[in-house]
Amino acid sequence: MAQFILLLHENVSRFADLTPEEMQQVVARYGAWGRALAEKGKYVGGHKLTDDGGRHMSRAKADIRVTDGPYSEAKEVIGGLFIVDAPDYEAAAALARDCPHLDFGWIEIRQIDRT
Amino acid sequence: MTTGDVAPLVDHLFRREAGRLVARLARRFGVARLDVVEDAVQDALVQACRTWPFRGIPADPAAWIATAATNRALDLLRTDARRDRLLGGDDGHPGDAHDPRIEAAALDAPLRDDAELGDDELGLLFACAHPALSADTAVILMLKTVGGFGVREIARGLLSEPAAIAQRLVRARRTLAEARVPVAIPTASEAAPRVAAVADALYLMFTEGHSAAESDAAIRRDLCHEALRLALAVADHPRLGAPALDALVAMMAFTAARLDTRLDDAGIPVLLAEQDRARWDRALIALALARVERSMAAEELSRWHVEAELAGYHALAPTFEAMPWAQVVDAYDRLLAIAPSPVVRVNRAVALGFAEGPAAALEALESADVEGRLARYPWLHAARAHAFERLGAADEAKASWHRARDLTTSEPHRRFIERRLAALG
Repeated sequence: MAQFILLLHENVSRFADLTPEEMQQVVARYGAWGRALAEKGKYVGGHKLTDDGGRHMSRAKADIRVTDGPYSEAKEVIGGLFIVDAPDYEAAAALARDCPHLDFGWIEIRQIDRT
Repeated sequence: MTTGDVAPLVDHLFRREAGRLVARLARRFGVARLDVVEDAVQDALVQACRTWPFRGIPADPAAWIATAATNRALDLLRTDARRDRLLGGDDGHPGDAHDPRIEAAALDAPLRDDAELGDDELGLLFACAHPALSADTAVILMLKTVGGFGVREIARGLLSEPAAIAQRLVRARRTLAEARVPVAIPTASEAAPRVAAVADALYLMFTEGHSAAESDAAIRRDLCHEALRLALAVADHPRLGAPALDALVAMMAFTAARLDTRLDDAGIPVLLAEQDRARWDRALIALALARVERSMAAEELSRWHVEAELAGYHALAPTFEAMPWAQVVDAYDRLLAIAPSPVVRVNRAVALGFAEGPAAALEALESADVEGRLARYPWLHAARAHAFERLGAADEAKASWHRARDLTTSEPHRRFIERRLAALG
């Protein structure tokens, strides 16, 4: 089956205003979402990414230039990613539809090219 | 998240840990840094919320949050210290976190039972009830810090605006910092008035939660249970406990036992006679009875003793008809002797109406408000309306209900009154 990466773009400030009780509910909702996916055998993996924005590398004439990612100025970061099994984009989107992440940002769905 | 076998989190774990960690870190770094401490704990919870979905819930979630919060607090304090040095304004607060070894000890405290409060939390509770703050400000600060409630929850529970609550919290923290209030349980010599201040604030927290009919049932219940949890912790402290505190706990437990039946699903008040007694919380009533027993060791009866007695009559009568109204009236008389108030006189008049009939109630209501402070108190008019109803005086009853309806600011209460008016035709 094809695999899709769900890139979780998030606005970190949206978490700042949550109460502890609400944050616990968020954790519980992610848990329920992940478990449901795992039970259906659709869950492949997931990773949190660090919040530093990473590094950008490019060639500038003769040199390779490495610069810091844009985190400090950016309101939005890719907080993490999930990998899921799905036959097509429609099915992948259906799996992500009730992901609690949609309360905190948007999800970019990319298919892993295996052709 | 990768596996389906992680245990679900204990109810209110985040709220409890937030309170516990704010207390622990406030004691360590001083109340002057309460804002930094609260930010650090909030950041740690956000970190949990953003990390656990990918890695799953850690084996010891409380310890994970504690580590994250402590590290974050140290980061924030170091940044502050560096900035202070750069600006030449480092006034060297005692307990400043320049030493990275501080945190290890903070994390060694053994894990306690979920509901139990430690000395840090009690110390912060006493800081919140400092004489420099009013009782209602103390309630807000207690809920935010020791309670782990969020600003929006507090606003919802106390029928206020989040911005107003946030502003009062800022001022309260500044007041405590300026007064250099310690996060500590008072010494024996100064304990009595300080315990009384905590008890007053917890009583207010409970009654606010209990009476805020417009806030949603869940948050109202949480406020009442938080007040009960904190009152229990003070009452059970070996050095602070006193029979009057047991009485306060008993009052809260008797009243909380009936909490879920006081309002219907639409939030409209249900008359005592119509409440479903089968749904009253037996465990809370048992707790209350045990505390009444302990409260009897008092040398003199406090206001809480009488309030516990009154709450007990309501919670213990097997049926509405079995209510010992004459004893209720007697208890109100004793309460009036300790803490006179026109509202208590109205309640006494209502009880008198059940004991001796509606004519007695009307007569007592006439004299309940000698100071004229209750002209705009809707329940004075509701009590009159009820007495007129029982006398069969429908026109007078309707006039009083109309008066009560025009005065109430609570939508559920207004709907309750509309129902009574509709029943009168």
